[in-house]
Amino acid sequence: MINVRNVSKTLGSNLILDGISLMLNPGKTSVLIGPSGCGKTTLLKLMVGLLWSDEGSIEFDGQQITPENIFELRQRFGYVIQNGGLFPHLTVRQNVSLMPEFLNHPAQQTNERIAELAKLTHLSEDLLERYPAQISGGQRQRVSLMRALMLDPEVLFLDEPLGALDPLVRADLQQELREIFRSLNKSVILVTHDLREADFFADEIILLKDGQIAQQGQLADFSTNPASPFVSRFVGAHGFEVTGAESGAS
Amino acid sequence: MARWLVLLILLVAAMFVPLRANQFGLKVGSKAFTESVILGELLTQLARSSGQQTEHIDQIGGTSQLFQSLLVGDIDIYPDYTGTIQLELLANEQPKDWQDAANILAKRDILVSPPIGFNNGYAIGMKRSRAEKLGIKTVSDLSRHPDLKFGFSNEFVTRADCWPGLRTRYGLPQNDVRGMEHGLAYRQLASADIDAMDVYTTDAKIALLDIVLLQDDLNFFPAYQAVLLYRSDLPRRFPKALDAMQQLVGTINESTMTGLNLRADVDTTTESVIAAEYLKQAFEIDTVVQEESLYSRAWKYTLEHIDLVRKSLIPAIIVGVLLGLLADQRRQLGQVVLGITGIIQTIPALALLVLLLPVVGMLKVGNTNAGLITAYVALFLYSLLPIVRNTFTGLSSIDRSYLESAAALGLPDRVALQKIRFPLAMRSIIAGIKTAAIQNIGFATLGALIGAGGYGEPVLTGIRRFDTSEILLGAIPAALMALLCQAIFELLERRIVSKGLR
Repeated sequence: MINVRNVSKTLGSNLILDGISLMLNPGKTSVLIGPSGCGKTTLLKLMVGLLWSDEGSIEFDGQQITPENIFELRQRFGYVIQNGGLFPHLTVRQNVSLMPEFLNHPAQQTNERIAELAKLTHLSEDLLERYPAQISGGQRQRVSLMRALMLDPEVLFLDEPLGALDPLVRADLQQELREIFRSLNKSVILVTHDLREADFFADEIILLKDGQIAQQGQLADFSTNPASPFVSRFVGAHGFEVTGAESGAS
Repeated sequence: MARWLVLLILLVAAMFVPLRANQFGLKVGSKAFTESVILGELLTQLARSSGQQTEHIDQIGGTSQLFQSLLVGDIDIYPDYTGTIQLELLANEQPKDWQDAANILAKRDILVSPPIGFNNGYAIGMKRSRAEKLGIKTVSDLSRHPDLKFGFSNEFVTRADCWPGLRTRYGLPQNDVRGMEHGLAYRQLASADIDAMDVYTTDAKIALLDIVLLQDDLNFFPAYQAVLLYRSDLPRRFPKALDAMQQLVGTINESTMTGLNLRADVDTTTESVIAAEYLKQAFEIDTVVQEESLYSRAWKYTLEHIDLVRKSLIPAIIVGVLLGLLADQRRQLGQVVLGITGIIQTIPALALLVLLLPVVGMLKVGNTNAGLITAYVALFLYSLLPIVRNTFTGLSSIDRSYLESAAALGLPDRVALQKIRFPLAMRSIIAGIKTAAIQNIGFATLGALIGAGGYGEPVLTGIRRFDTSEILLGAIPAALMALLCQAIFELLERRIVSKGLR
């Protein structure tokens, strides 16, 4: 589905990504995780064409992502930004119908889709006419998810979607999100810094450190068979028991 | 998009709804002091008595503006003084004598009438009580009192034939010399804020405020014989009117002129009534003076003022928003644009008007009024800065996450600009336009200095005549217009800026 080939990216004087190669499978939920500055958000932005790599290439569905085809491709992507990124001057309904309107979809079709997604994300209809400032943080994230799903995308990208929420709301929304992902059966690529959350969502976890992949797989692999002392420490720091010895030095 | 297009068309259309009467026929000019206005009114009524439709464009500020207006054809004739013409208007040409000056003018298609009959030269005036206390009788006596404060009209301070020359000739030591509006100088002399000022020898206020004229014991001041300056095409275009106006030549002596001036200043009789009475008495010419009611005058000034504001503000909104957008898209060019509009803002309004008038005059097409267009252009330039700056700030200070969000959704830049960036910047943009509009309403009062009318006209008249109610006739509506404008923009902001941003 998404094939990252030997991608490097420098921002300012910092090497953020250092020759990463990665294959993400369709229909699965992949989670990018790692400490601050490891390059996980940058990698996500490269995948949706908000940034461009210095070296290497990224393919989507066998087609290299370029500035020429990115506008077309974005209609097959859904993207939920860190704090929701809802436009404050537009109501919820206007926010989610921006793209369909731009693409001249019939209003009726758009409204049906909104009703359908409101049900899916457990948002009541009367919320649709409010402005982002008038709804709660959890509701904003649901709207942001709705907006990302409007065009029924093939891949859904989420950058720390639950990062700004308080723990109770966060736990509830995690549950709901996982149900939504499962019911949609879409490819999902999610960025988080919380290993427990990653494990909760992931079919596969990709742990990054200093712009490189430290380990890729299930949480169970990480604890039974950590690839490096960093992996052990990272897993341990999140309160999981490390049972295996490191296979390599790092 | 369609909504904005409609708004744009409405704005442009609003510029062209006719608000001021088209001026055609003969145009008489006069300077911004009583005597000149009376002479202008005499000329106007004489021309009308010959059956010619005539407009009096009174109180144009500054000799050079008036002369420019004559050169570019905004006016056809105006009264001036030989000393002023020789020493100021033709300062660069340095004519040997009066005949030489007339020849130089003729080359520029300007003709001069024989003298009207009185000399209105410069003199230095002091309150009688003050002068007697200090024992000052002549200009030479001034050199014994270096601490005296002088308040001269702005022209007098700078003109070579005035203060700079006078100081050199008499060796005057005074340093406290302020340039000020002539009418204000009288007030300050009366209240002893200044000790001496420049006066015209036929000025009625000399008698009124008990001012003594210091004797020009070294004969510094040249003769200032009143004459008529007119365009050389006038004899061809309006021969009868010119004949009628030339009846004035050789008929008014100093005491007659001072008497007319006194009536205007003391009795606050309007110049048109004074002129009509004089024409009746001296030439047995009956003229009808239409005294406009206060209401109709205020209405006329209001229309003229609105006209000044709209024809400068509306283009400034369109150009300013586009420049602000350009500044945001090309940051380096943007700094240049912001720099230039900032510099324009610092040019004194009067200087900008004087600098622009000849340029506009050169580019002038057909029968347009160069003074008016100059006022539009100057006000337009002044209005740019707040609009450009606020548009740029509004667009460039939008949180990056919104721009990223728009791009990630798949909105092309052009659509993101229209649907996301402009609406988010709208509050700042409207605030900029509001600032520009309110500033513009204030600045537009200066339009009267170059004959563009508006609320500045009664303000000038009021200052000249010592007439507070006349000043208020301009000042109060101007303030009300600014308040109204503020209210309109607040309503507009509520309509245009999204509720979600409040």
